[in-house]
Amino acid sequence: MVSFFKNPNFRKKTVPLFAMISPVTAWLFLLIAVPLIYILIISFCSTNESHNIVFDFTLRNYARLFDSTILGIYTNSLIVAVLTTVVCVLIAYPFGYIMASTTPFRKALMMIFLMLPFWTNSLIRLYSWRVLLGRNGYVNDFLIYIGLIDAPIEMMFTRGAVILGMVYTLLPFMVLPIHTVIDKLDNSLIEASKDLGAGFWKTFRYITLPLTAPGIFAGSIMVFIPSLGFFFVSDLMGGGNNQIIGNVISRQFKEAYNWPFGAALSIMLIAITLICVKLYTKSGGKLDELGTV
Amino acid sequence: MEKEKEPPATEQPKPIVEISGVNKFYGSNHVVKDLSLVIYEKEFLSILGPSGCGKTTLLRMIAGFERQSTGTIIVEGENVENKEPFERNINTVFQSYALFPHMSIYDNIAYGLRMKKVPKKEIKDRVNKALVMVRLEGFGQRYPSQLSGGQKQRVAIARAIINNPRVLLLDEPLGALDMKLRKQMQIELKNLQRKLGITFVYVTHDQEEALTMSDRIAVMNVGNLDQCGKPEDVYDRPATKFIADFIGETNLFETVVEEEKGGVAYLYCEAGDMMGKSEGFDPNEIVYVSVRPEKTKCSVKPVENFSLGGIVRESIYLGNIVKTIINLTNGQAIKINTSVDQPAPPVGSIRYVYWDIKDAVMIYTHANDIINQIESVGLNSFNAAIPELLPKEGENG
Amino acid sequence: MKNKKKFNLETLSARFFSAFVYVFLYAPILIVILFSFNTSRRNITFEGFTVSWYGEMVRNSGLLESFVNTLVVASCSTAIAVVIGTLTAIAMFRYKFKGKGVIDSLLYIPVVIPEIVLGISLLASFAIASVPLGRISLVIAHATFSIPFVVFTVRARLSGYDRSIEEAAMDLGANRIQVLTGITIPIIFPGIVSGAVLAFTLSIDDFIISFFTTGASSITFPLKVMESVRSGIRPDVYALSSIIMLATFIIVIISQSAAYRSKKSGKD
Repeated sequence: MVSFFKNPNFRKKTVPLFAMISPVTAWLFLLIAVPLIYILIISFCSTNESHNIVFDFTLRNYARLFDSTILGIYTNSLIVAVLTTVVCVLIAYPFGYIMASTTPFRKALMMIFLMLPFWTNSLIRLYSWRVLLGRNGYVNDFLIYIGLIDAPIEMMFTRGAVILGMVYTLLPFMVLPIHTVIDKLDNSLIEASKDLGAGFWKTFRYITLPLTAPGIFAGSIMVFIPSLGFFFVSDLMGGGNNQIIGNVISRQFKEAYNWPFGAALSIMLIAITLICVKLYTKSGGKLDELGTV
Repeated sequence: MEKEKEPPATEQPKPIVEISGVNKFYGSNHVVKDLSLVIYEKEFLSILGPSGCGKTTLLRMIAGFERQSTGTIIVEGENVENKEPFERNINTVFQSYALFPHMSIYDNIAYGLRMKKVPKKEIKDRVNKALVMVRLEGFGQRYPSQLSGGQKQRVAIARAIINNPRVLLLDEPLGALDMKLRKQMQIELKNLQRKLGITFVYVTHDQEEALTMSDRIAVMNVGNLDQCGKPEDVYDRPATKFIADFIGETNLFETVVEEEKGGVAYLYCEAGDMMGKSEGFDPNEIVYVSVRPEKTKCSVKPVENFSLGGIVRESIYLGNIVKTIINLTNGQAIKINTSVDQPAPPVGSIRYVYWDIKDAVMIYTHANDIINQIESVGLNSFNAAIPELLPKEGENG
Repeated sequence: MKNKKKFNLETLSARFFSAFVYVFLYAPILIVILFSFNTSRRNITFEGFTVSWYGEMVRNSGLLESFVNTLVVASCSTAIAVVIGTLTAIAMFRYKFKGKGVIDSLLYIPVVIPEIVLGISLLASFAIASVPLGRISLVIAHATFSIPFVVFTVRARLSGYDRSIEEAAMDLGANRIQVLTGITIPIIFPGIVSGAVLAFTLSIDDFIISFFTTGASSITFPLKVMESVRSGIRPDVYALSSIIMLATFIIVIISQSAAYRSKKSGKD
């Protein structure tokens, strides 16, 4: 009997495979799997006076999720996330459609200029909205100039501003998947529908929309989930008045040092994420379409 | 299973690849079953079978990409069990061509020689010669993406044969080409093989291709080597029901032997009585009878000892022949090819099917089936397999 | 989706709509560039033109330090992500093995879960392992979210080829190392480059994960920006941002046009 190590299969496959796959395995386990399990564990723990974690078992952190202030923030956060997603779809769908129907060169150009801002510092870009939307900002000036309003209106530090910030940061993530599905759409289907007597809207309603729905779904996940956690957007655009889940979690870890409660909040966020992703894959969506930026 | 017997026509052929008792398992999946086959020098051998029959796996084991679970493969007298693909003097033409997309055609073809550290000057000469041979002079600086399917195919062949392999393995190399180009490449490949005198092992699922090109054909079915022989042997004397069905068109009858008398076997099936060659069958033995459409005839009155009556369903004009379809009483559709000058029977009329005894190919089933079944299931699951030992329709012959 | 017979109205509204979207995307960027030349130190209205902030920027050691720190962290984490991610993509392309599905789903976690969750879980793991929060923890954290992106871009590149391309090289006499260096890596190189560019830009721009995984000793540029929000961002921060944006724009446009040209010539 040949020794295990001299087995050619071992030499040809097992050794290179092990060498290639062990770094990523170790990395993912130590820095993703284990920490997430740890977060799950401490979400059932409590803290002592010096903010150290006490490893007991309590459901208090989860009970606190139903405090009225926390519930209020959750509601606000969900409203912001839903509206952000809706606005993104409304902008991204026509935009993706326009991109898909233009020449390849223009399409490439439109794509690059869509992605360019995404590759630069989002904080500074968000911050400069203050100049545009402030009381003495250019938008107010413009609106007064055209006579739409008489006196400057407060636009910054409102829920609307937070949503605008979210849309501004997350729009490309909605455009990409929607554009991909529209681009792949077989034009002969549209023609067939028109040939069969459907007008523009009926064709859109019964053919185009159902066929492009997976892209909308993928984009919605990529917009909805981050907009629950992007606390810096709410900090910069909402000025502390419009808190989202991310703000509360961040405070537990960086200011209040109540890690167990922050962990429970995170577990809720993970649960929401899992539900969304499950719904997405169940409706026939593919995970790798979420990973392509 | 027929044993290896017929070498190609050349005198005293020397074996170059000897495969004996090779099995391949993927987990519990038994894809190649105790296969033995000798491939000779300078022959064109096709391995023919439907997809999933294990033919590509067999080829990959010869090339060294897969390792057999048990059994030995000997190339040029040497056991290659522990030899890596790059240590074997065998080259492969892949189904997908597998040209290196980032290299020019010249660099693609030169690759093997560079790996062997052949001097630059010699590489240049040999690559240019190879380009001429596959009629791609002047294409050296292009890239694979700039070539058509047929041209890519030629590059793949040039890239393999430039290394002067003793054996060239081809895995459905024409599969992606259109019909016309395919026919043309078939002839080119055959000529190339003759000119180079290299052994070609050609995997295909296209029986016509195998019949046109090969010196010998090895037919595989669900991991077994069912038959290996000259194209005319495989066509005229199929060893199993599967081969009779798979290669060319045929009319196949599952019959029971009534008796044998004076060199004639008297048989009957669901649709009626018939005759076949006497090959020492026992009464009540189940035998398959295969008759090619061009050998099948029909008459207005029943011929003696035949009672296969049916209704003419269709008569299709195919240019050189007329194909008549007759539905027998049990619903079986019989195909008959006749020459265009003969009057075709009118659709809806009643005709009786018959043939000359010499044209009926008799295929053993009972004995064959048992042996095959035992071999294919292995002894461990022998008990479980007993109910399946009885021959039935759709079973591997 | 091409339709040659278009009404002018349709084209016009399409143009108008795209213009609107691009104004929305680029107006804040123009503001950043414009206000980097503002004489007023408070960034509320534009009062006059000056280039002095570009000089000021160089003297602002805290700002420069944060920028250098950002580059160092981005380079290190990108290097780690490229090596690990490429190996992973090749292994997953080549082999079937037990636990492949587990690795695959673990790879999707950083992409799908909210960044804040990844940030706090990394913070927690550094706490358990008592890794001090600083440059090293930052590099590890950034590599963690970058690895999946490298795997995905390299894998996307590989998905166009079947395994027989490596087998063909081996069949022609190349050993495993020669196959890797002569065939596999050159083929996936564009994928590695775009993965690296993606990892690098994600790292430079990252705020949330850095916020949780670094200490006061090792501030990155986005954190510096956030820190100066309270007192109002000074034009020298805008000046540095403008320079970074310009550099990013140039790199992206060059790499994208190269990609577009190679795609067009069919050498895909």
